[in-house]
Amino acid sequence: MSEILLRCDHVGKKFCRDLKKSLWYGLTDLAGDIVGSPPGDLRPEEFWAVDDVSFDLRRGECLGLIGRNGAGKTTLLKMLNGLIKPDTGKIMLRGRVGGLIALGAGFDPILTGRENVFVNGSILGLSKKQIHDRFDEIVEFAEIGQFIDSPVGNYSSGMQVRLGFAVAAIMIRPEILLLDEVLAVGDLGFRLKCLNLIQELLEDAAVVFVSHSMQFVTRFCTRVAVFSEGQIICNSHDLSQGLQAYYTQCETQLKVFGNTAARIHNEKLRINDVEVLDTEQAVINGDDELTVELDLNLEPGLPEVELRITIEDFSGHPILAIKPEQRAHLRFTETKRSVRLDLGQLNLTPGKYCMMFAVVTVERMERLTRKAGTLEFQFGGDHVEWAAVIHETRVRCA
Amino acid sequence: MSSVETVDHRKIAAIEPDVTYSPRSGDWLVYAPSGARSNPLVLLRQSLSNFWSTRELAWILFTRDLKSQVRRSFLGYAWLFSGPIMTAAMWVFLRSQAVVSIDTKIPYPLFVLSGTILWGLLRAGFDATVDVYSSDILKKLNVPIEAFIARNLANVAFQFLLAGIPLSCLFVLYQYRLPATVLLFPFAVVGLVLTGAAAGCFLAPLASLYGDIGRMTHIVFMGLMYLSPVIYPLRETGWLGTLMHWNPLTPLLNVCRELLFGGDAQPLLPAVIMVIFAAGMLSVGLILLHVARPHIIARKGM
Repeated sequence: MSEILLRCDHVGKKFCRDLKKSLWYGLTDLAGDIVGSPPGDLRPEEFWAVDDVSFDLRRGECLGLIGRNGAGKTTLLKMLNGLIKPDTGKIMLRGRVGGLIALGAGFDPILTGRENVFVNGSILGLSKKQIHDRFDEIVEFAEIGQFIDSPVGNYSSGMQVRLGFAVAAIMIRPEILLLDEVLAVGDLGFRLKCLNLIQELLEDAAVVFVSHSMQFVTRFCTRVAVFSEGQIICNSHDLSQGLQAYYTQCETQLKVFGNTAARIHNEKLRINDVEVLDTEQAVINGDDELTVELDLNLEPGLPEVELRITIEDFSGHPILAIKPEQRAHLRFTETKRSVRLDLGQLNLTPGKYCMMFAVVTVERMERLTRKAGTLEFQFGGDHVEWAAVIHETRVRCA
Repeated sequence: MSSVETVDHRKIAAIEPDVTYSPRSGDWLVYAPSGARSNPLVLLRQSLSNFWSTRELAWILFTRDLKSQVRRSFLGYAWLFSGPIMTAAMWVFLRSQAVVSIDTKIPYPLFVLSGTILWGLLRAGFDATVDVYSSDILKKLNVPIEAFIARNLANVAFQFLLAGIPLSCLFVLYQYRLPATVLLFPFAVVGLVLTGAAAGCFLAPLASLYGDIGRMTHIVFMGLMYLSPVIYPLRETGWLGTLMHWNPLTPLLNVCRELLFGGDAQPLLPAVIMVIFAAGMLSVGLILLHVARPHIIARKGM
């Protein structure tokens, strides 16, 4: 096993909800720091932003920190970066710490891109010579081209971020790498380039990766820690377990759009023809038959409409749609219908799913209503795959 | 006093025996809560070495601001010394209209302009440290704070060089011959600026948390100016005379001026003591800036 580069040992940090009190506590903490008295218990209006967090990180590992906003991820990252101090416990680091945080720090809109690269690089702790040596590489990566001698204020926001990213990602080679939501950068093409560059950075470093994108977490991380109210509620090498823990924190939201011309209501889920009365019970497995029932009310005089059904995963990405040939059976002109759909057996990766129903007019494809986040159900199982659909395959080797 | 300390391997091993060490990495960097005091002298040495190691960054930041300012304004640097010139011009005018009567050994315009410029430098030295936490970069990245202090001080030095322009114009106008002591003048100015910077260090944490401090210092500096030999020389009698006499800035300002214009009315010793005292306070202040930084970021950083 490779060596430990980062250790968090019962780390905690207090924050205060009230601004006036917060400033006052800051002052008293500083005074306490000077006379050498350690910080005490929670004072009025205070809470633990990071609460008793412990983990080790070894070279070559990438820890994904996930959790809802305000769960304490960024606070922990700030402590790891040495910007703020823990109130309890301690953080031990060995090796150069660097991060892709605050991209483009120190950019001055009046100065040219070229000048700003040197300012930004210098802030990241690089010498003029180091920057000079790899300057062309930076410009090429950022795809700035001849604009490098224009003021950064004239750049589009995407160009500014690209330049900031290029400087940091090309120039720093830390042993402990901190990444805070930096991948949501630029257009698709640039993003793919970033991912490859980050993959390079990850090798041989201990990485802490904060992200809300499960796609990136599953791509890069070897472990995940799920934060909730300052605490790590799940710390596991099994990413699926971590993601499940994260998903269970988030509630599905029922979203209904559209006018009252078409109305979907009374939708029900049946598992093996048994009606599900409580979402807790909506757990299916690969050999269960799934059925959906709903009532459709249409205003008189509407043209022919089509009912669309999609299974969505927890983040709202569509996973499964009905075959177009079968959609002919889902076209209606009458005002009131009860619809029953036998979806049969599903082969999905374990996780939470829900249904999306929509009613559109056949001729003009006009959407009359859309109901998303309804009929939530859980697909059971132990092992989570990163692909949503699990397909049965026959293997033959010659 | 600070949270950052390096710990040797044996100590870690005692806490956690399963840690494997790499022969090529250095010591552990530990962030722990306050209470684990480290030697203030170690902190001071670290701070001073940061000044050296970040000199390139400080220079780049300084030139960045310089270029940015020049490119976005027509008059550029004229603004830096417009304040002292305006104040000086106003007093010259008031005096010529006999609103006030001020007797000086040297031509009054020279006296008042040198006074306001020196005062401006003291104020700039103060601002160089008191505003240091306001930088956004400091709140987001772990950049040594010394780079920003050095950048600000470089700005003061630049302001000092620029102030030479209006002063030399007056020298030429009055056909004034500079005494040899003028060579020592820059050193005295350094003492003056450091005095301001030392005071700034102590107020910086408070000023970054509470906006009141900024307003208050503005008023205090205005009041102090009238208790210092800036616009009129040291009074011998009356309340004002007593106050000016006890004002620790008086000897410093007087020495600066006498080095420039000649004269030996001001004994050197009080000024020297003042500068030594300021240097000591600045050392303590630098440590304070270090210790306070994480507290400031925790409360104000976004």
